[in-house]
Amino acid sequence: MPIFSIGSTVGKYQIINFLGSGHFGAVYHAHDMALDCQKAIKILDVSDPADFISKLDEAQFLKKCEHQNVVRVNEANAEMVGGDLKAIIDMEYLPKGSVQAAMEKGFVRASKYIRYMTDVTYGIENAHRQGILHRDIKPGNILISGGGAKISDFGLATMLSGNSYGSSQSYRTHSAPEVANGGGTSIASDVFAAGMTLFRLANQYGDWNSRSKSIPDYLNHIRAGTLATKVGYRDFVPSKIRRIINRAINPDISKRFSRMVDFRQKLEKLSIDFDWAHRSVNSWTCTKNGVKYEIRISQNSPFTFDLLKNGRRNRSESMTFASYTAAAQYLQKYVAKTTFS
Amino acid sequence: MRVIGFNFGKGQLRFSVLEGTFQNPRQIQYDRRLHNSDLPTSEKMDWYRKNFLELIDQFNPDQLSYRFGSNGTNDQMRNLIFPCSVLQLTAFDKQIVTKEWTSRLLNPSRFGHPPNTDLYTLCDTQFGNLTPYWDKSQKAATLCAWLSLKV
Repeated sequence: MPIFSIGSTVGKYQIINFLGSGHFGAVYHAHDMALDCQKAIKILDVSDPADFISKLDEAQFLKKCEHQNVVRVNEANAEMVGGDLKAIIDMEYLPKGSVQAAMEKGFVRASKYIRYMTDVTYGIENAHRQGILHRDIKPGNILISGGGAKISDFGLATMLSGNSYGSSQSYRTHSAPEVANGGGTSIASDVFAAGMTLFRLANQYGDWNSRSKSIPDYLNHIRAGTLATKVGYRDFVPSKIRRIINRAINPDISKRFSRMVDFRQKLEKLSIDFDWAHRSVNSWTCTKNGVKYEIRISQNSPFTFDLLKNGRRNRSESMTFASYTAAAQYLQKYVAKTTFS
Repeated sequence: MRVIGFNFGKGQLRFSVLEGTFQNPRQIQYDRRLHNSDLPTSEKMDWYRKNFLELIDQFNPDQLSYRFGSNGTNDQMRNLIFPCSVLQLTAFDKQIVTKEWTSRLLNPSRFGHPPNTDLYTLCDTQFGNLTPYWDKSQKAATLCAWLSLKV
């Protein structure tokens, strides 16, 4: 919850908006009055001044992981606010917000989520090369930047130890089974979390928390690495994406991608054919080579499926179904079949 | 000395990392990186830049070398000249020396062999008959890196 109100000042920053709570601190959109520019600042309580440097782990990780797909850290400072010592991490402000927010607002097309995840795997691969595990890869920590994305919030990040494992902290529903069962985090558990993130994006599960927790015995499924299987794929998710996700979130580490770059290469090879957007429960649209396509079903009998090119019905693709359910399923499977070439 | 040799093609780059001397080269790694060739050109160039930066960060080379040819269709030229330009700019940022090898320069005499020597077979002899992706494109990247060790 925000503790600084809009318009209040913290050192050289004037608070514009509360962006959210990260690990161990709150993040604000702020105006840097010294440089006259906008920033995202994370403000952390420092109860013991001797503990100040340890509060800056996240800033140090961000600095070590500098990359065009990692949120840029500008500086980290100490500030006395109302007699209390605060640590302030000054980062670039990305006004388009998170991929999670985009998913909550509307449909995220395949071309977009593939690009976001490709960018994230670049940023995370770079962190791994610096010996750092992120351990909190999720849509809320992916920020949209230009046409792509950057990974943010290194609040749970840790250094890989000599045996290539970190401690077992991670985002719970994205925890690999070996971590959920008390083992250490590793590159493989970051791959698993990235796979869970792609699973959520491909299925457009913007309501993940309620959806995952509605699964009976969901904690046991996390421990078994079967939560995604239990939640299931929506019919519109293409098989090429399912295969990539299934490999990334395989409960068996030896069957997962061993490096982020291998995961990324699978995504980079995908070629979008029809970049469908969900317009309504009965209709999807896209534009390809200047031609507007729409696929739709009728809600009333006869339950027909139609493909329209620039508004004209393509009779060869029309189908009639015995029930609305069958027509709706065909519509979604048509999307799955035609998304990638 | 450590060199990364590159060979560019449609939807892919091949790289080969060699270390040591021309007489005694050691292959550290070779691989291919693929991308969707339908991407807009600007996104492709971003892809090349990120991959060059990643490989430079990973292997810390003293030199970057690549095969360059000036004949071909517009598409072939685009798939070659554009990545070479990005590589040059990346090398400039990182202050790494580059070396360009045209087909004319990649000849057997440069390797101290008679003119009719098959350079791809020479690659097998030197580095082994490797798998996977140990094809002519891959060997061309390796030959570029190998010759660069001579300079």
